[in-house]
Amino acid sequence: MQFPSLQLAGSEFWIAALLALGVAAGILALVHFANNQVKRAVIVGCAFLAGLFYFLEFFIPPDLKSEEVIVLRWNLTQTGSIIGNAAQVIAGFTFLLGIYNLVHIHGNIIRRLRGGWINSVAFFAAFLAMVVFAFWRDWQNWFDPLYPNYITPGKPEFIDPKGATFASQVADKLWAPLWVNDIVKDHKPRQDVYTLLFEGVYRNMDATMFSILAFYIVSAAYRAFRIRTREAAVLMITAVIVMLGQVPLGQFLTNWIPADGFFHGLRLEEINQFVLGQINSPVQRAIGFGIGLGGLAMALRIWLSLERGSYFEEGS
Amino acid sequence: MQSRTGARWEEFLGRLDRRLVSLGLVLFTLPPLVGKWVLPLTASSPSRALQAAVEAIPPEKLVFISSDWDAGTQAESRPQLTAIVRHLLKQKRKFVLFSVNSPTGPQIAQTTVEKAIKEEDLTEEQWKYGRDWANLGYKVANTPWIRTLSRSIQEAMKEDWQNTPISELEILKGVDRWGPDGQVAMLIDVTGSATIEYWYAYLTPTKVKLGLACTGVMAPEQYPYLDSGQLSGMLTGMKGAAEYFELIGAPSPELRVTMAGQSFAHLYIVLLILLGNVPIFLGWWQRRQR
Amino acid sequence: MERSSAPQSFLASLPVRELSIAAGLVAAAAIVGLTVGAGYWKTTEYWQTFIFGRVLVFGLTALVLSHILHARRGGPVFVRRIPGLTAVDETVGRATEMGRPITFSLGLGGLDIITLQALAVALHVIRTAIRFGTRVIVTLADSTMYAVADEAVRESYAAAGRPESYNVEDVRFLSDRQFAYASSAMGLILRERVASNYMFGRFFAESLILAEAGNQVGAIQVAGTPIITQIPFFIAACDYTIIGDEYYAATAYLTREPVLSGSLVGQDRSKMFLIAVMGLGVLLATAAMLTGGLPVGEAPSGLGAVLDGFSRLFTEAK
Repeated sequence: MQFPSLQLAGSEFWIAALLALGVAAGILALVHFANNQVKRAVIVGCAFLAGLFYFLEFFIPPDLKSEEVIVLRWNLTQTGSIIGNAAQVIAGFTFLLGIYNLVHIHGNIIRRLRGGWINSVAFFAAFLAMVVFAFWRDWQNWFDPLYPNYITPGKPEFIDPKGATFASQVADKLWAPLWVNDIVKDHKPRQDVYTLLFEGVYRNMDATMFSILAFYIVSAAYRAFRIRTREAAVLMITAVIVMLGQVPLGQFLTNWIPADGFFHGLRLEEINQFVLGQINSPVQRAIGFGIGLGGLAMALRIWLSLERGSYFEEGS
Repeated sequence: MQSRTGARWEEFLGRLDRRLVSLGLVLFTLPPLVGKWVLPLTASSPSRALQAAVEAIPPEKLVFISSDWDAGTQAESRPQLTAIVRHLLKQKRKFVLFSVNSPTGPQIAQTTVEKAIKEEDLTEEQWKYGRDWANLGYKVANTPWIRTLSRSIQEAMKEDWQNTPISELEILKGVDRWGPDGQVAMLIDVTGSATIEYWYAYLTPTKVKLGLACTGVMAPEQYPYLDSGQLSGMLTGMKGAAEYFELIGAPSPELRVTMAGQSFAHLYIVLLILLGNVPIFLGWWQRRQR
Repeated sequence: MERSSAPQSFLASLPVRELSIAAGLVAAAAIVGLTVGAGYWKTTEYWQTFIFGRVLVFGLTALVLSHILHARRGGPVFVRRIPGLTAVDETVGRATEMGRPITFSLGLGGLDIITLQALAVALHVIRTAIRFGTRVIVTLADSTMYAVADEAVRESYAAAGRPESYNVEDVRFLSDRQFAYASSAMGLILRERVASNYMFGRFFAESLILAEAGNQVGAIQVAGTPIITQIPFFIAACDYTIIGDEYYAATAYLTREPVLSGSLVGQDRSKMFLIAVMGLGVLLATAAMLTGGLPVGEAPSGLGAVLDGFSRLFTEAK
């Protein structure tokens, strides 16, 4: 079953899209009005089929030439990528759901003037600023994909390379000023509001949150390593050795031991490497095996719908 | 039973404002950074192993560098890539870059490499793009593509980052297979995420040597692969980069100072840990006295 | 992790019937794969990785599957105590006493087994909390997962006979950007001064940010993640941390469903098999070394060649 590479254009495309929507709505309605037993059967069946598909795709040896998995002329790899695209579309819709959730919560806080409502105002301001300037910047390209994405200084500010098509006329009407969409060729970075918000604000706030970690590691470490028990003492001594062995200062402390002498193993960096290689590494491996097998078992349980009590069916 | 002094200590530590603890970190780290202190640095065995692996590559063979980092981990990844590239330049080993993690990876790698070439006092003509090195750009690493790559480089890499067909790149003429029987002797992954897992899974069977330069947090997880020989060597975070610069005889003054700063940060944590344990030490000591 | 309830020999405890059914199924799948696959098996590359890529993974799957099938008709299985999960009552009780909410962070993961397992634990905590009328705020960084979690939590309230108590604001999508999520979740923990804080799922650098926020407000903290690099941070900052395969044992432990516990038995038997393989490898390597069959940098001979062949069996699949 090879999917034909169908190219729909104009009204055909819209009819196909509407048909697909209609079918989807029909299936949804059927599932909605079905009784629980039918629903359960549908869910279990879908989960099993979907799992089986990926199981086969993974285990069947791929075609030597294309590296794609083909069973009885059905190209599983290609189908897999179509399913992947469909999942992306669904994720797009759930994103709207997520945004609704955010707007709902923050809207409520402002409406009832709950404590900290000013933060919610900040949320809306930031959210709208990003949305407006991101869309405004790029919208000429929606109407006219050939809209130039740069201009050279000295030339007329707005040029239309393909002549005035309808689309470019629309794009012309909706034209964004340079401070919204900076397309001057030599400007690196672009000098527009979106770039300011993304590069100037968002990136730095992101980096700030990341660097807060350094401070948190300090406070967490000094609380965690209290030697109340013997095990804690071992843990603390190991931590101190590794922390010092990782940096020049620690290495400096045992630099007087000759690096090629009999006692070189006592240098801090050597002990550090021993801890990482001979103690840490087997533990990592053991945990890794456990997690791998646990994941395998969990995947089987989800695939065969055995995890029932865990999600929807408590009490039934 | 805890002593009274011990209890007072506990109370003091409990009340210690965490902002003061953080301020202490800043105050401790600042002097070495401002005063540009330098401490002697000893290279760890994984870094030395990477250097040895690179130097053992036959001169006619290529090195591939998978440059999978972007702005997020640049503090660690950029000096790592610079150090590795400068080593390759010193050794006159030709190399090819590509990225599978981030679409912005090729640009950031390109500027880093161009700068490294300048730092080695080589002109554009002496170390020419297309003849001595290339940047194949961002590739979407799905399983079929990686499988193809492991089998045939020509099939997987169609064009470079500026869409030049690889047939026009002299360096890639006849370059198709990995490992001892092929034309590529080593792949070094400079990464800020788990991309090395692809190469463990799909390139290990080709027997190509694998090298890794990862962030500090990722390193402990990679030691099993060093043990098993799947990794020929590894650079750990900024420290790995600093060590590599020392190893190749081109110490970086900047990194030396940063490492001194990091040393003092670690020292500060060790001191705080000891401080936190003062009540417990006091308790022991007083029990001894009695 | 487990121990069969009845004292019996290891061999007798193997579910022979189910094992053969599962092995049959898996073998059938393998045969189908070989017959319809596109001639790949005619190459040496395929056979070089045959044991690891096909037989071993199939074998482990069959082992786990057989124990799941076996457990469906078998009795209960003993699962040892997992401290972080026994703490559920303690955390809910504390929150109820203090009149403060509980936060449950599902991490950065999307719709995958890691986050689904985290959601299962979250639902267990929520079901316990509903009985005491305590609020649990679930935070997420993935919108697909948000849709699933919202529905599942709503269902939990309905199943407990209190659909009206469900508050839309208790399942929150915060942001799909890592640090935006972290700062938002951190703010929530600090503002609500939560009594207990759970972190289950896929965590990266934000793990410690969340755990330290919980620590600042003195919350009891329980964390679990299969991301090995983050486990040390959780251990340093949390009261209870679930490590390694305990993470996937959580639902079996919480629900005591025989089928789920059965899969744990399968998992443990698979682990024993892997340990045996490792033991054999170590013995072989030692013997090869002692008999001088393992010279460094040369072609192995004698026992060294046997060891080489043995380790080839476990080379990763192509």
